[in-house]
Amino acid sequence: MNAAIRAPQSLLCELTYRCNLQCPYCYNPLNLGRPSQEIGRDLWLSVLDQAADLGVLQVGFSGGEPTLRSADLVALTERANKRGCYTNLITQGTFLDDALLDALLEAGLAHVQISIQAPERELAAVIAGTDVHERKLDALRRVARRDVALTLNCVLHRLNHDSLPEVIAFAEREGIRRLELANVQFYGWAFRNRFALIPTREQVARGQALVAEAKQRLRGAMEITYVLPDYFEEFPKPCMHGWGQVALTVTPDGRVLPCPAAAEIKTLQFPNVQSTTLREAWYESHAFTSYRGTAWMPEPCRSCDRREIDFGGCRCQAFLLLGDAGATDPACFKSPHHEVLTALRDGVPDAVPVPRRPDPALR
Amino acid sequence: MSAVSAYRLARGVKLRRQPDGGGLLLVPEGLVTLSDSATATLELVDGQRDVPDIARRLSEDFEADAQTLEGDVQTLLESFVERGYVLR
Repeated sequence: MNAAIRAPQSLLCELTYRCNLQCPYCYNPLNLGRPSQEIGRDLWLSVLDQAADLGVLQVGFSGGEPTLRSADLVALTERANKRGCYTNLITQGTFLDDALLDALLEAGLAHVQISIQAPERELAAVIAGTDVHERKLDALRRVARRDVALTLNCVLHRLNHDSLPEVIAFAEREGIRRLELANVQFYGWAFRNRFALIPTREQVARGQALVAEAKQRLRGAMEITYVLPDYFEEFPKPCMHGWGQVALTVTPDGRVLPCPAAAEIKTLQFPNVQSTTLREAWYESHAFTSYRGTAWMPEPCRSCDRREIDFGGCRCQAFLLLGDAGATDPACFKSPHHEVLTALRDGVPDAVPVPRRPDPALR
Repeated sequence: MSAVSAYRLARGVKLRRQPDGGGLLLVPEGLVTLSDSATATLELVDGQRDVPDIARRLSEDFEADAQTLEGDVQTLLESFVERGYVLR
């Protein structure tokens, strides 16, 4: 049965893949493209108008580092706001000075998410490839002083997982009200670095216990999210609440994707806002239709009673690990290829991560 | 500022009426669909009104008993405080 396709609710605008940091856990693609390929402000404004017309209510600005296009970012925030959308800025904060922050708030920005790579300077500098700890602290404090929602984000992986108590303590000291602790997911650079980054099962379990305790203790004062990774679970994650169901992403060069990682799927051609409308991309494009709903599912998904709970898991992960975007996500214990997760969990303890940076060889 | 028992929306939380009249709470990276009564209640949260004030206004608009409504309003607002969307 094909249910009517619902309108998208949220749009992620990846304004650029440029970034001054080199975090090895970044989910951006290995091919970071060229700045000259970035679509301009006018086209982004059109994208926002189209999104609002479709019914999108949540708009995120991300990248790479979106504040590297600061003037455009302000204009886009203003347009999204004018069209009634809630606006989120997802940033590592190193360029978020008072002037930019005030301009963004003037434009109606509702929420800022700032990342830290570790709770203390040295480890943060190792992970990010550069020391920007002070500037992040400044940015956090700058935002905390203003009437805008603030979330502190820290991506967790083997190199910083043991610092989780310090991340929570750091957040408490800074008066953070929303803390997002996200176990690394393996797309893009993170996939390349997966053997170096995958936490141990013990680290993840310890993290769960720590977060449970902190949630109890900080109830009402801090909202904490601990995103569990799927590689130690039985069932896959309900990725994006289903392919082409709720959200869409537009990349720096204008491609329309059902999620930020989908360009990994080399067997799909994605529509581009330079030559098509968002409406067409969402409702009619081959890429979006390919894995929407349940009709495309192979066994065991097709007759599984979880098919509308986790939608067969993640297409990108199936492609990256099995070379087939239409296969059951190997994170599912029912997948005939579930053992590739075992290989991932057990492999290469001394792997060295590759820092994220533009590489002509990868284009 | 406001009375000790007044409620206000947390930072970056926006209440919205959809074209079809339904209410939505837009929050960091998410949305919460609201019932009509929740929407009407949150529309009255302004950092000044306390629970009896809100209940009184609702009882006028919906022709219900203010006393009874107070309990419902309290429960609703506390549930939103729990989720970080409303502050006391």
